[in-house]
Amino acid sequence: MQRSVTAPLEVKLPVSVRYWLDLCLVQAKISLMIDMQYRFGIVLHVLSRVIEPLIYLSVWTIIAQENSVGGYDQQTFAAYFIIMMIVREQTIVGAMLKYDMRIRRGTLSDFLRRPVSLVLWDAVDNLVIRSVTGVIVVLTAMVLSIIFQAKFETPLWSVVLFPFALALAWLTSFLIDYTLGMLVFWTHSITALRATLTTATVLFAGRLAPLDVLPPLFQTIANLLPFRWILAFPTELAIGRLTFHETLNGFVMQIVWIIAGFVGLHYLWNAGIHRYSAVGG
Amino acid sequence: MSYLKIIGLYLRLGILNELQYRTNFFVQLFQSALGLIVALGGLAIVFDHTTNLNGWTQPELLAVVGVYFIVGGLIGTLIQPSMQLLMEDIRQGTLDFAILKPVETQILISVRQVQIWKMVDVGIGLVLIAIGLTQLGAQIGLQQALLFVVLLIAGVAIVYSFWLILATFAFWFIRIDNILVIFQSMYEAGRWPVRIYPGWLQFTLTFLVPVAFAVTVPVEALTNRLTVQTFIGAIALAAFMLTASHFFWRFGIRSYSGASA
Repeated sequence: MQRSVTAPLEVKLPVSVRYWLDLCLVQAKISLMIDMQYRFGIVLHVLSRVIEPLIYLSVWTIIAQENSVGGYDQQTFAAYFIIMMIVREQTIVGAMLKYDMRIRRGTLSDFLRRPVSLVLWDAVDNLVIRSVTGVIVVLTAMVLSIIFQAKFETPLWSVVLFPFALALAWLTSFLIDYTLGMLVFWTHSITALRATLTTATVLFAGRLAPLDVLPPLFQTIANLLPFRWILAFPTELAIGRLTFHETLNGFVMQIVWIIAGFVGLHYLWNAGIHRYSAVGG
Repeated sequence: MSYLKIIGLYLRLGILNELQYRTNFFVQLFQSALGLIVALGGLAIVFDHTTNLNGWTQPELLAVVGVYFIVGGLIGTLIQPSMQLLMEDIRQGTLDFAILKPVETQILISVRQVQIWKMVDVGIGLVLIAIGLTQLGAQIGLQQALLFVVLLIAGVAIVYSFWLILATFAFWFIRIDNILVIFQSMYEAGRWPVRIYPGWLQFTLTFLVPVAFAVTVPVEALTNRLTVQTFIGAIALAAFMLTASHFFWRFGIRSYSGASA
């Protein structure tokens, strides 16, 4: 079997669990220190994430003035878009930009020389920044919930299951985004790739409107894509829109896409690394 | 040599420079098409549930999206590239090369770069407005068209001044690219008439980030919503912003000390 010596994607059998935990901890500390250099930038980043849900919340608030739309009234719309803001912030990955930069500047070589998987490093790095922004975005959500009088009708079991749905959503998002990020090994028009991704998530994953509100054609497309299981599913669970059966179905779909993501990433990473040749040296 | 001639020369240079990268045209075309899908998809979803949004009908909102595309295209073609270059030059100290030239620096730094392919958005915007107005069956008189063009110019002037002020802050804060991300996400709000937003957001979009004057007000001229007050306000604000940004720029450049030397 052909194996890339420089780039072990597969996490090999650990020497001990402790070794890997230590490794992740060290990586997390480094990431945290790097992130903390740009505190003001992080606040501005979260601020820019608040605006989009507010735009669509305003639109739907007006439409729901007289009667509810697809089972949503003004206050449940508020709850939906506020939770959507959190879920979206917690599932951002952005591997495409990272790899575009790494390949163009040749810095990918530095990472490949390390004896630890770059994917694992990126995962830890992402989890750290997500926890930092998570604090800010949750505080923002609380303020917005009061301003817009958001109404949550969430049963206890949904509250309990939400963290798991969000964690799996993050993993799904990480693997799918990372897999798509591998396309940078073949093309550098990332603006076009990212615009495609944005379109898919705005229209077919619940960013513009809850899926129940979408026309049938949009719903059909949404079902074919992984993005609704990343964004809409945890959001609807958190505001108490899902039955237990629908929730189970959501978890199953997340796992299906996680497996697809693993397979896709494995294949594209190996193919991509073989294509890659460093610039400079 | 007159300033107009210099501006013309730089714009021509910028266009020629961009024409070297023809694939970018197709990338831009693809991107604009996706932007169009999002905008029209949004309208389709919204008007699946209602016949008017705060008094705005679907064809009228199509015109809003059209102006959103036109102004966005103009910003992307003419304003943003030069301003980003300016901020980069301030950061790296290479602004020296522009300052040394014997012309009014503000004019020079405002026209140094052009991204001509962004004009695709202007084309799309014009088509959308045409479709919207045809659906409305509106008779656009000469007066309305004239008002629209004047307000569009005023709006672009306000956005230009706004960008110049933001970019001037780079003299003190060096790295401000994150603020631009905020502007871009705020500009998205212009896809809908600003009066649908809650009061405090309306205020922000009118006076802090001038999305209202850039997009909503010109559309008001086309849809018979324009009041005399708004018209005078827009012109006055444009004049004020142009003057204020000019003086702020002069003030800022005095604290620039270059990088080498």
